Amino acid sequence: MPIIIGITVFSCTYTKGDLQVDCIMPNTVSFHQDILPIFNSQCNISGCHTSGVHAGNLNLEAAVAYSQLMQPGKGYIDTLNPEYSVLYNKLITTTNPMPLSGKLDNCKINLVLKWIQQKAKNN
Amino acid sequence: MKTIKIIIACFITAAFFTLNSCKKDTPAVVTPPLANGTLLFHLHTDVDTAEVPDYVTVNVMSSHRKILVTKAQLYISGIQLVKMDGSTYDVPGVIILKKQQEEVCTVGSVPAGNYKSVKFNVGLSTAVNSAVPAAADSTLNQPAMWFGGTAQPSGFVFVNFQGTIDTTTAANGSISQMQPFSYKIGTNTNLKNVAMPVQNYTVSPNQVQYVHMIIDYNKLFNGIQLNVNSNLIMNTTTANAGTLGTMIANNIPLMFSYEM
Repeated sequence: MPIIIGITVFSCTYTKGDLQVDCIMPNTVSFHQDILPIFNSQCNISGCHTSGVHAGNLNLEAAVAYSQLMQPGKGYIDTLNPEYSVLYNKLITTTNPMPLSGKLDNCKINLVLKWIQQKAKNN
Repeated sequence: MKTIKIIIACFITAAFFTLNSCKKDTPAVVTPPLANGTLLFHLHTDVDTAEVPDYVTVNVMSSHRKILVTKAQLYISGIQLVKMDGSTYDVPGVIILKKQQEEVCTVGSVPAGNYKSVKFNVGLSTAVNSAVPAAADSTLNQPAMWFGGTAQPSGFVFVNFQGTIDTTTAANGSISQMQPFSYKIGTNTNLKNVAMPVQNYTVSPNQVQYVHMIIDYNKLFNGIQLNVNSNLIMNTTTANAGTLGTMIANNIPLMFSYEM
């Protein structure tokens, strides 16, 4: 009987495309504590978004990352329409997504989005 | 025996739910309308390999030639999205005035789907180029993009590129030695089509998709002898019809590349 019930209950369970990951999302996302570590490990590495080679004209080294992202007219951050932010879009796009080493997990992507939604503060 | 009957009954019941609980009514012929997504261009303004950060910074190109850009803007129109089968979707009525300081340019709502490239014109259609812009039209009502004091009768400047540049053959001149240049490319003859190479992109329903490109204004100097003073000024409709104007305008498609 349990087997039959099991078949009945689980036969409609679909496998979702994205891996479910348990996220610990802070109430307030900190640029320095939450976002910069992502840049440091994935973006401002050799040959990418550094002062020497700033791909896409974007340097994401810790000392300048915030001011670089907030340059007017660049569109990297759009706090009015967070999903339009080039930074966020580059993480989710299927065309040359960033980082080159592979897509970030959804926790980190959502962290970036939440930071932008919270007005992308230099906190 | 009774137990077996119960088990069979349960199995049949379970099988019924299993087979039917996920069943969806599939309409015979009704196809839902294709949802749209939002497409934007992210356009960098470069000279050679360096971005033009503003209109006051002297850029040094890879040849060591110095250049100060004081104006770099152009019109994009006639945007077509190339589908995977090679057919195109014409984006209706969008005209973009790409300015140095504004990198995000909205193409608009387009059908969701997979695309492999994009095509567009640099400049304006004959109809638009001969029309008087409405005062409220912030894209076309731009005196910097007119040949005269008004848009008509001379029409619009399609590409406006100005500044000062080191014109020495060895590219080792000082900033004070740099010479002014002024290229205003326009006229119906010089409307140029740009067909970008294949680079697949997907517009997902209700999502935002960017196409990232670089506009390298230094490409306009291709084939131009900079140490000839008369080659530095090409800013009238008459000059656009000349050899120099044609040569510069033919360089327009070379300006565009994908951002890597």
